Amino acid sequence: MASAIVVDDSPIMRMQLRNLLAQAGCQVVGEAASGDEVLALYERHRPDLVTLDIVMPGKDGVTAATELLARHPSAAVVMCTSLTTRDKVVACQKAGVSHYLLKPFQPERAVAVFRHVLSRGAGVSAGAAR
Amino acid sequence: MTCPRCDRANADRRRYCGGCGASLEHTCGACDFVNRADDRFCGGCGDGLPELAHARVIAAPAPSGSELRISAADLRALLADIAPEVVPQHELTPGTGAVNQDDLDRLFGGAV
Repeated sequence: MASAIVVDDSPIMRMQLRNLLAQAGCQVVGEAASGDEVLALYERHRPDLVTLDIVMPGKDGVTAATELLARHPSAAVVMCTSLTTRDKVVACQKAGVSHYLLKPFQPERAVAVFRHVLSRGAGVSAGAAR
Repeated sequence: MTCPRCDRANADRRRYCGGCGASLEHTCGACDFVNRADDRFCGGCGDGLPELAHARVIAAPAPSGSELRISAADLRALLADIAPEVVPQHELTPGTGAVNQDDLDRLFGGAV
């Protein structure tokens, strides 16, 4: 089964993401409420997917994604945020994120995006090889 | 130890490669024992360790005597050249308005 870590400062949002990821066939193996923990959490679990909120206490999601992808270019990162400004989207795209989902989620669409991103990483990540 | 990504020799106390920044640790998924990145079997439980993702990502070997480090943006550009089907080529339409999920699905691919 594919694995994911969920980074969002809202416990309710983390619960919703756990449910959506489960529908996409993905088990959440780690959670955090701040971008500060992303790199350590990723290197501990080597998940197939990372979901990242942008506005969080401590390190924001764009900075966390940029640092994570600079060190682990194969990481599959899906930004999950309510921010709709073009500069944020462009910054995330330049960082190399795999997708950008807007809150509130459209559940079927979110599940399809997770499946799509996971299918692109199949056979590449350490988690998928376990 | 030798870095699995760039082959640089590193001191054993190092956690990250001095040449490319790759992690030199490999945590066992079964027992959480921290192994060296080049270990093939876990020192804690004996399970076989999967190959690290970062050891398989870079497409081209570094020329002798130099080091290869590639950013996410460079990797994306490289993939766009050699495998454009996996890298959507769409750009956001100009403007200052908010983006919606349709725009984002076109930009990143995988639209429903």
